[in-house]
Amino acid sequence: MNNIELQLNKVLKLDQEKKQALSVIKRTKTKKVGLHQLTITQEEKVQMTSKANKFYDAKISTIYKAMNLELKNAGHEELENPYQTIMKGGN
Amino acid sequence: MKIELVKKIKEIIAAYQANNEQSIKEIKKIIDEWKDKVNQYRDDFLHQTLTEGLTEISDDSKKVNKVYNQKLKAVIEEAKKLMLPMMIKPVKRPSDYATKVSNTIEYLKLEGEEITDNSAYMYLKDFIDDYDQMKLFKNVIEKLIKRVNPFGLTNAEGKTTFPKTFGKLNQVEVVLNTFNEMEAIANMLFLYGKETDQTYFINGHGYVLPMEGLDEEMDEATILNQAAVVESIAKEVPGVETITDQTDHETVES
Repeated sequence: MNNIELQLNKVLKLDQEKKQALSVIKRTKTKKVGLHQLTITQEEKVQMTSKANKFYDAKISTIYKAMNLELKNAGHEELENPYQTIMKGGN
Repeated sequence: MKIELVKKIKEIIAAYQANNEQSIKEIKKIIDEWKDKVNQYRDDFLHQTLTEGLTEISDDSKKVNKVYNQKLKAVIEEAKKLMLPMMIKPVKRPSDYATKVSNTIEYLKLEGEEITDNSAYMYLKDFIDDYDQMKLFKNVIEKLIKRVNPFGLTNAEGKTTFPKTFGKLNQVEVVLNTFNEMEAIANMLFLYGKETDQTYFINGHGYVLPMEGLDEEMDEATILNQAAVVESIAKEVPGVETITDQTDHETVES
């Protein structure tokens, strides 16, 4: 397996981790603050979702940058990072 | 060096199909969740919520499919890098090479349309490994025999009439053409717009389930056939090992 295949597998793995994280955020309804259990507001959920998206998209972006450097040095066409082009601030 | 083209492409297609199935499941789940709430919410709110939910699923799915497309191209490129140098090796051309070529062309012309596979081989055996030069000799012989055989260097069934002389060149050409066709398919595979299979109507708004289209299914089958062609030739190329795919691939990329 060549390096580009390995790196793309890492991207797919990160995508799955991201989906799991977003799914947990979606399902979670309360948070603990000291001894109190408080309801998570819609606004907080949006913030958490945005944070998770940014975290994983940044990791994926690093992989694409490394891959593209390798491809560029080898004289090949660079890969488009789908997570960057369609990235949204928070959804 | 090993080539596992069929196995790898099968795995990517299976993973892509699993991703699509997962998207459809998620879309159905959202529709099921909201379809019974038509009387609880305003129509515009319901429509907006459903549209946003379905768009999010579709966008996520497109991102993953784009990665599968990139992976497919990488797999083909890797196989090419592995096979072609084994088939087209750099040729050492001595200082009198041009003279030899020129003399050989004269001998071929003397044979004229009477030329056979055996006689051509006698003249060209020293050039067999020189892919570019053999292509030129092939053109020369094709022109010589054009009058007696309108099919050129093949018979009416399309089989080569000069297997001994041009067998190796033909093999290289088949591999190059097959890789070109695979790359052409790989450019768009997994990125097609989806076809509509089922539409759910809620409050008069239609929500569709995206399905894999017939063109895409055909391209998947074609690219697998082409990968099998490459592997069958690879078996005959010294230095390239093939891995026979004996398993069903229903697994998803983890």
